[in-house]
Amino acid sequence: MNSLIPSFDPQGLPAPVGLLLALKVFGFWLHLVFMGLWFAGFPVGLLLQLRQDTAPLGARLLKTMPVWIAFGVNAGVVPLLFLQVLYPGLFYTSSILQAWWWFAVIPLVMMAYYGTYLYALHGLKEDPRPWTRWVGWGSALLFLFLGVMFASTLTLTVHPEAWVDFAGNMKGGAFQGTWLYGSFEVVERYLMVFALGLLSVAAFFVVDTRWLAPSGDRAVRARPVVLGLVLAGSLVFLLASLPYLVRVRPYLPPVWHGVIGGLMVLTFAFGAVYAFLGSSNVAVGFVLFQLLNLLANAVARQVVQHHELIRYVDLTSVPVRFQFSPLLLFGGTLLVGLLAVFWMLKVYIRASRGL
Amino acid sequence: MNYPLWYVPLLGAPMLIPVVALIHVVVSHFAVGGGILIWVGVREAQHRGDEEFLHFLRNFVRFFLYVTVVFGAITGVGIWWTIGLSSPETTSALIHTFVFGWATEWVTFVVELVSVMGLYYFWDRMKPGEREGVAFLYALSAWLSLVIITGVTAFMASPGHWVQTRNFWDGFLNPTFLPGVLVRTGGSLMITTLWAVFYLSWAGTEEDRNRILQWFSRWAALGALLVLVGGYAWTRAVPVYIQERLAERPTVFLVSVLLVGITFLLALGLWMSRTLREAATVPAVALTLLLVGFAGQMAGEFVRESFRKPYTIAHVLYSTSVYASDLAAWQEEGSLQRGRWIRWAAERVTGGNIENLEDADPEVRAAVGEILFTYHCSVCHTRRGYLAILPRIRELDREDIADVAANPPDYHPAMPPFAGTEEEAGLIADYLVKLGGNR
Repeated sequence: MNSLIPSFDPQGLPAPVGLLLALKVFGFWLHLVFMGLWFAGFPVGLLLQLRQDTAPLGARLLKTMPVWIAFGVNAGVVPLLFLQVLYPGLFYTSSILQAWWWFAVIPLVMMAYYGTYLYALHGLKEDPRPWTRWVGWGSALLFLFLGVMFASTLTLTVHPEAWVDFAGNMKGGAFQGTWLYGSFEVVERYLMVFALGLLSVAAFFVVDTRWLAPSGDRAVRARPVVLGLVLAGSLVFLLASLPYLVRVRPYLPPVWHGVIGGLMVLTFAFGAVYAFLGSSNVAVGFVLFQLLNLLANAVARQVVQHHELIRYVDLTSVPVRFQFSPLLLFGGTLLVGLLAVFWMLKVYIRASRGL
Repeated sequence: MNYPLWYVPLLGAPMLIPVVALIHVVVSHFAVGGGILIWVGVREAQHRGDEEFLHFLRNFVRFFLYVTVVFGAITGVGIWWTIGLSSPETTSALIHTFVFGWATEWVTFVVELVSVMGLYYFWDRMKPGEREGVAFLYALSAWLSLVIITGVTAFMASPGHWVQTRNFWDGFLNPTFLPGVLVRTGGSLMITTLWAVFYLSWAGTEEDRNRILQWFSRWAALGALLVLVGGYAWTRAVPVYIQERLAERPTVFLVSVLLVGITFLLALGLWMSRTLREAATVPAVALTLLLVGFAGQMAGEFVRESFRKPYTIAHVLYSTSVYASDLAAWQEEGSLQRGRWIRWAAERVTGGNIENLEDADPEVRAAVGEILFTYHCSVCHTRRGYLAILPRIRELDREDIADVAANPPDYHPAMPPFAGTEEEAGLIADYLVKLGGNR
């Protein structure tokens, strides 16, 4: 089986493995923060629109959805970039084997994204046209479907032993790319990300009603919704992660089981307490724990991936051709870019308050 | 040939790259040129107190965002997606060489997003100085994004000293980098003007159209000049083999020069003649002009892409995904031995015996030949679709076909050397004879 894994790129690694892994994890965390808001948030927002008392909450989430998608897609580039740097042979091959599905991500994201704008512009009016509902649900379902493609391709990336199963989809030695890899692990990973998304949506409602667009009425209405979301998110995560954690037990040090479980319990507890008390301190705790929860999951996923793949690609044996100045270019641009973003956000916050 | 291939009927997987890339460039250049002109426009309008122009720019930003942030951003990611599927070896080489260049470009894109979203959502609520500042940040970050991407794409045509040094900066600041930046900056200004003509054909008052179009057209004229200067410099900076190919087949190149020239004259005309401005904003005319602009830009990209063959990275990596430095080994050992996916696929059709194919059943030889054709030839040729192989071999007998397969550059300069043995070229001939019914 190992003979099918492409040899590593002759350029070698452009930086030490630890740095590349850290940047990959950071990017994945950033992506998770935004992605949950549309992946789980879109259907949640549409469902909330069905009831009069929760409709304003759903409307706020859906109105801001284009922004979350823009930043989520942008942040998604980072982990994929570093995945290609670290595991090019495994990732490219897996995507080629199911190429049409992977390629379809682009037009489908575009359709879903434009659908989001259409819904945000026309579906949130007082008396929206019926077609807007179709557009909204169409976009939400497309995003849910797109998650399957990511879960499938990234799971296949860590299971090169499954590549030979695609032999029946070949023509003249090339792959037709019409088969999609499926396994219980794909389902587990899909559901875990969805569950984390539900918790992120709950955190969004807390942030939005308390700080972004403070409203006592919406804050009160948000509390039962937050409770429902943390209950559903924690339950789905529990159900999906238990078999997954059993499966990856050899790869994940016990301490990480504790970290993941502990943070999930804390996130749930703070979310539930917030739903009953509505206190600011608890709100801050809930949001912070959710961010840490996402970070812990991103790190744990990297730990598992690293150990799953070490029998196929030993990154420590890949030559490193590190040049410091390009890293400095990136770091310097990042610093200046963050300062620019900070200034703009300051301007927008002031502008949004109409001062 | 390190990777498996994706079979795309009639077109071939690599042809999906220009399809996605050409769609992307007309929007991404609008994202850059639009950014520059929105900033300059905001600055001028605010200094003059020109509320009408500001009102136009405010609405134009909305149109701009719907086109660039959604379509431009997703097709940009789409190019990356497509090259990874169609040409993973080249993609991997670019990513491993320029990873921190890509990462830097990502930062500029974050700034682009934050600024354009601000212009979209808070235009009316920002102070004039803030609006100008945000517009400037958008323009700068979008242009820097162009500069970084140009460094990478220009590298593919002219890696320069990088071939010896493997130094990031030698690759990035390659001989065609500066000409590329000039051409792309100019192209951005030109295409933005045509997008503005298109937008004005259904938005704004008649006076708006006249005045604003006149304002845009001078920028298009400047853009055309930049393209002409940069384009000329590019032809002098590319490797000799590309210069020779341009001289041998000048049609496409001349067409793109002609289109730029026409745009330059059109821009001058729009600047000077009100009648022409009124005519240009008739919807059908505006759409036609925009499509001509697309054609010009696509012709330029086509020149850049197609004249690079037989390499994807000049003098480094052949379009068959074989490193030039490894070619001799491939020819010595054979692709059935070195190509892991070729070997695996061939073992499936031969029952595991890929050593002695000379005496194998003709059907088996043809089946192995088909696999070899796929990996060696289908980067450019399909069987019956784009650049179909069948019409090209119709008049040839088996020996001729085997000779073409074994010595491709002798027959066409865009074809890379065969990365296999003579026996493997014979197997390809067996397959093509069977496919075409030749002698």
